[in-house]
Amino acid sequence: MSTPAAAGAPFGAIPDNVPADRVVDVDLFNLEGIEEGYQEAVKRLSRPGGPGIVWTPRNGGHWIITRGTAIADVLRAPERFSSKVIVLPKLAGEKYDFIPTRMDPPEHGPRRQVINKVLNLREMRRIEDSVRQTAIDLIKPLVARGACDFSAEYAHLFPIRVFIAMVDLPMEDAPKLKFYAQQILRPDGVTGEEMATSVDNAIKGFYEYLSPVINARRGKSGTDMISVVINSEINGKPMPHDEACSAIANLLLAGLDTVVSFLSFVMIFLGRNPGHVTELTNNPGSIPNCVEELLRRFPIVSDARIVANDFEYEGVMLKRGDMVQVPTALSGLDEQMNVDPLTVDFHRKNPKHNTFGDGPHRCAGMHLARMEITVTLQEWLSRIPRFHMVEKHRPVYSSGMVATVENVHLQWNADDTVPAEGAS
Amino acid sequence: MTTIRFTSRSGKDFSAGESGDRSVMEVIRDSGVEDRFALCQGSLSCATCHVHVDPQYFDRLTPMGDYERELLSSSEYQVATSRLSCQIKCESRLNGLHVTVAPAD
Repeated sequence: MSTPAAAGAPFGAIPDNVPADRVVDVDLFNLEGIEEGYQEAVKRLSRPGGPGIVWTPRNGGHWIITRGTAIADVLRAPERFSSKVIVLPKLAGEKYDFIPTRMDPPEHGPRRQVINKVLNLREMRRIEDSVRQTAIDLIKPLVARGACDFSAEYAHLFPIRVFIAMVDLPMEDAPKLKFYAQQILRPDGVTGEEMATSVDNAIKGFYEYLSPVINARRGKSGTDMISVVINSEINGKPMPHDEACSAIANLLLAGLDTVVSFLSFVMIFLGRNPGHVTELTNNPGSIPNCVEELLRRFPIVSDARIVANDFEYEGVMLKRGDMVQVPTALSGLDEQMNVDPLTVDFHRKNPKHNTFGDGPHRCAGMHLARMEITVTLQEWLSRIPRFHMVEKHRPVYSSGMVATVENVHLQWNADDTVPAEGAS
Repeated sequence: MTTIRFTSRSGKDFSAGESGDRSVMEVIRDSGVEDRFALCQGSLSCATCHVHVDPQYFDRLTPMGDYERELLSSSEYQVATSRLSCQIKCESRLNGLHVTVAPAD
């Protein structure tokens, strides 16, 4: 680990309960080695035979779970690792009040059930055709061009169009909502106070925007995701207005940023690995299974939990109020979870991962995410079956609660493409 | 030891001797015969470990909770004896249980 640099998040004091041999210098917003890839940089946190938990004084000071096999256990133990604060740095996290993500059982359950109702498999079947059409509409104009910045021209557009349609909001509002989401997941500012202000402003922005929308849809029979959620009952009572704002903001936060990022990670990989692309184009029926292996290999989420009570864990005393970062990437990339974990093996049986988290907060949008990824690969590969990364443009990675990658330049020979249906 | 039997999506029959603290989902998952099975790994948030229970065993199962009912209702392949296998423990009173893995939604 490098010595504390002048730049980056401030380097705070080390509390009494942190043994010196557990201290590392990790800035979650500026991971060492991230220019080579986010997952590779996270993997550096974990070394064979090393401690299962370490502590960094950056970003207000927090623990980091480094044992891949422990990620699921931590997320399944809300009585010890609580969701009352899940955003780092803690000062910013204390501003974050979205439900149900910042609730523990039992209050979490009935609220989560409402969210499940709009994201379950039946709903996904209902919207699949329109999701597919959205993908086709974006891919078709690219085919003849022979090149694109996949991140800017597809990944940033597709999941947002899908989601904005599901919540029935005007497409022109998407940039504003996306900005708020980004300010929560990767807030502007260097100090905890600055980031807390960014998060607070973004949350207020969400609530100011959503409040009139929710008022207008309350008590009506709308079938969009917002109407269904806010008109649901919680324990037999109508959902209060502030809870409704919070639950919808939570959906937007999750739906506007994650798949955007994941799709670019996948296309970088495929653009560098023509053999894997051929496997997919030779056997399109295998795509849903292959998506599971890609999910294992390219996890992007790393949120946190707050220690609920003092207890001993992996040889250290965790104190009530300590923050614990849980990098979900470490589980799928752990040698004990999966053999040869950095290799993408489309024939791997039951790839094990926590890319969607675990426990009560396991991603409610996982069926939507899987469908969006599968549909993208099906529709892209059926039109552009051979393509490669343009390596002179380097992808730009950034990390935070959700990692992202931009500047993903792909190129293909227009003669290799499949002409548009109906074209003569 | 409880004998648990299941028929895979592709129609093959399997049988395993189990102890009571494991779930039928774990038995099927660990056999490795199914792809995209039990995607939420038993946290009761998907319906991908959906099985059709043989009617003669169905009434012996622990009754369904609201979450399970809701998740099952989202499957296109729900039948009268549908259950999520993550919610069925391999208890000795279920010795000989036979289930068929439902098609993937």
